[in-house]
Amino acid sequence: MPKKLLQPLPFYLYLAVVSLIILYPIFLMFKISASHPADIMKPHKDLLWGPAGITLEHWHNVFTSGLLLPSLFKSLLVATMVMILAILIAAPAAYVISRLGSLFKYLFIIALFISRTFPEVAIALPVSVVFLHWNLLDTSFGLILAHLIKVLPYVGWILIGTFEAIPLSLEEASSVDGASKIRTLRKVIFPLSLPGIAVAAMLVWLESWNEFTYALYLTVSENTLPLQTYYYLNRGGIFNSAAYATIITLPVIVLTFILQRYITSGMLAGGVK
Amino acid sequence: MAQVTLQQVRKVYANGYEAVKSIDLDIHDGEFMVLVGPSGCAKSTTLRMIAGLEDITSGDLFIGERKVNDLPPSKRNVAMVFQDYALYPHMTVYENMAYGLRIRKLSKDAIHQRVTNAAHVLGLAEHLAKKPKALSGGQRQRVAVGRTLVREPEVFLFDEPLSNLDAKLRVHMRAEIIKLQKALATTMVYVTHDQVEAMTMGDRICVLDAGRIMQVDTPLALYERPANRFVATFVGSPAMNMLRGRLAKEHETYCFVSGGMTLTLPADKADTVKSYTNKDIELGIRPEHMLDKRTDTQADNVVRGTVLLIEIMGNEIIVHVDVAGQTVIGRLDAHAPVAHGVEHDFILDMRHSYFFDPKSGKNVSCYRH
Amino acid sequence: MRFVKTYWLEMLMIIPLFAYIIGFTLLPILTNIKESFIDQRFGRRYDILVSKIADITYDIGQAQDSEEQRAYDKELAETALALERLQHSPYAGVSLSNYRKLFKDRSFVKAIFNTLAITLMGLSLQLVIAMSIALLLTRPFHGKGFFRTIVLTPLGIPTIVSATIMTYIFDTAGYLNEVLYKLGLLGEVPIDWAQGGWLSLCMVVFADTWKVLPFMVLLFLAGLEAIPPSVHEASQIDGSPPMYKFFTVTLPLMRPYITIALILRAIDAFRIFELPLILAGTATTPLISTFTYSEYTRQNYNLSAASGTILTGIILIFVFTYLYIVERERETNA
Repeated sequence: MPKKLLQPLPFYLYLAVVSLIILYPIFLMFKISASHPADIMKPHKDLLWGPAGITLEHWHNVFTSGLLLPSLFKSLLVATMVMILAILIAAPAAYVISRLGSLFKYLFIIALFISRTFPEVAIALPVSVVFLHWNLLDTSFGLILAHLIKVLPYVGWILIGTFEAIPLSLEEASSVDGASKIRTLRKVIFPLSLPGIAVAAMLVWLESWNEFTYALYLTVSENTLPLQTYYYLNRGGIFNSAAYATIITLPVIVLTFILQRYITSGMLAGGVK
Repeated sequence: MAQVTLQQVRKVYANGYEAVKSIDLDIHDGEFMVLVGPSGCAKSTTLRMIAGLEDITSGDLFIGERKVNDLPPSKRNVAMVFQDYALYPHMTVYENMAYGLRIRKLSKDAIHQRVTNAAHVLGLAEHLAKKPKALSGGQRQRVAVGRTLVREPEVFLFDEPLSNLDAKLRVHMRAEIIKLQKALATTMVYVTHDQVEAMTMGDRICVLDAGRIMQVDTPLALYERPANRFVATFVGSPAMNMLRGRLAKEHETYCFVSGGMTLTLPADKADTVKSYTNKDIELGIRPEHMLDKRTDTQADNVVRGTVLLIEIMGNEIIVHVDVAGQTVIGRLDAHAPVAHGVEHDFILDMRHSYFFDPKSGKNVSCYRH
Repeated sequence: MRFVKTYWLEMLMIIPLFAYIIGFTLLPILTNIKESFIDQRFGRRYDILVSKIADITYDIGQAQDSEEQRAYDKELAETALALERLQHSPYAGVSLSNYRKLFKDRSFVKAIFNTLAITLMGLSLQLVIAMSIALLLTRPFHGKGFFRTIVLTPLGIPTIVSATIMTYIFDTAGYLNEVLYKLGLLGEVPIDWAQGGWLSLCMVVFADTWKVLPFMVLLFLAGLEAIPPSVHEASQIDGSPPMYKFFTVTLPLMRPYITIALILRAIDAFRIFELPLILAGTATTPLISTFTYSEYTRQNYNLSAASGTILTGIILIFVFTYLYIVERERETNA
């Protein structure tokens, strides 16, 4: 794009408009959660700040309502358990797939890809019927199982890349040095894949934390945080939903920040020329 | 220390590709054997079969007295230096070298002794606590060698370890490895594609082409008595000249005739190729046996050719000459009076000539077939 | 069997993942397809009878005396007979009644239309905007890093959160109406964005674009950066005007990325669920996925299964198109 299209004024105007459209909604969420009802409920709202200033009464309500902790706890529990289980199930499989010949590897990767594309509403129906029989409806355990459905192919995909980055010659050297397969996995493969696994783990945690559809299908009374937000939205609870939305977003911002700063480690650079 | 024996070893891949077409090789105990050949000749594959990293399709492999076909690498008591070194990036130099010993449950003291000894021999003593990424290419290579030293294996296997080093370092490391092998007197199988490396390092050299052994012999024998055209042109730089022509008999002398040029054969050479009279034959002659006419005014086998190219090496020059329609390469004195594009008289010293069968490529002037 | 002996560890490592996928993804989808071919009337009655039998059997185990037991036995026999009669009724067996019902349902037909409209409108809008932003990001300028971070922010916002925020914006008494009012484009009567029709579709498209833009920008940026700078330099020496160059050089080179981006986005756009559910509800603006959900809430399981199966079918068409194109690209590049 040469100079003609980069005329300062229209160019920066476009940038400004785009930035505004992207950032304003986020600002809105924080604002509403801390604004006086009077400022929000009037017919003509203030786009930036209302005259009544900031209030923490909504946050106070949310924390004392007694509904926050159960859903917070459930979201935390489910997300953490899903993270652990997903890594335990997907990592070994991803390792094996990464070492396969190209035909089988391709087939497995396609299988993972296709399982990710099925619509959740189609899967959730039979799953909820079965869970009803198994008494898993409304339970954390049931939700963990459901989240794994969504998350396993995704994690598998990412981890295949992680393991592919570890050169085969390291395994061969270990084998010639006298190590059994299990020992090679423990002492060579596992330590080197740790950074990749950490990244995948964080991504899984986020997916589960934000998950909505399966929670909707499989929950009756014990809401996760996203469901609770939806509950308030349906009742017109603007302030509560804004507060919950903020609570949901906080760990996401922290983890996204960590992941962004993660640089692919030069760790492997030393072992192989 | 042990000998390594391959008997009719074949390697066929799952897609039907036959990489190694039945080779027999006896590597003597304590010998430095070099496997050399162009890319794709299956030298690395053969080495990896000895290591146990590739399956043997048919045939037998013996290390010492044991038949090891079905043993995994960890049980063969071999040590290997990989082309990309394959150092464990998350371990220090010390831990890299101690890894194999810890598996074999050596005592901490024994491990410490072996590792520090090897480190001293290789000049790595101050680097023991560093990780591979803090080392230079040459140092990493030495750690890879160190890893094999401490294992005290029956056989050392080296897979093109010097190919990623710069020229000067390569020459230095070559000498180091030779010294090491002599000191240890352990069997070493060394793979390289560089024939200079092969010639300078090996006790014996095994030349491979497309999965077949072309010749196994000492460096000098390979040079002076190549078994076939492939070995003749592979060993020696610049490569041996190959000229196409016919064998003719004029009165009582045998001559090589090609495009108007006639070269007389000395009697002993003529004896060996008599059967090719009036048949096509290939003449092989090394560049150093093409001489400037000036040196011997009444020699026979004078040919006249136009100089196509002169490469100045400093101590000598390499000339590419058009002789009777074929290009001949010669090595002459640095001050030889040749000029680009100008005709000049040369002598081909037929006392050092070789003759090859045009179809089979076999050297008929040195070996009975 | 030598294979199993050598590779037992690898098999152990790979089985859990695929067992889970087969059991919890493939099986449910197949069950869903199967259920879609069972008449609703049969399906419901069948479920009631089967669970009744299970309950009675349990009660028999708890029976206190033989009289109670005989009562239960009688009930069991009656229920079993009812089940038997059901199996022979005209409703049993494979039936296309659900599909017939779906296509006669105005709501479902509207859902198909809406989903198509959202996909097409959304993709066009996202393609143009994402490409323009990606192009801008290939040139250096003051504050580029800052702008890049801004563009990537929606990636970090959970869908539920962005849906929540969008309801504030698109509410009848919401912020968008307010902005339009302040700009003088709107009178005293605010726009009801959720009323259905084109307005609601635009609302969903806008919300989805907001959420998805960073992903597409990154994809296009990768594609643009894959064009070797020497191509741009050659074009400069040739002296081609910028717009011409864009359409004859840049765009063709980006073709594989654009195709892949479009198909992947189409797959996601067709199954879009969370955003429209929260923003538009199921009443006024049904989409195929929200329709499936609403039938589920009304316990019309077989109908919901049929709707879900249709959605799965559409998605699979896109998936195989994608795989076909990727395979073709692989072969031309190999």
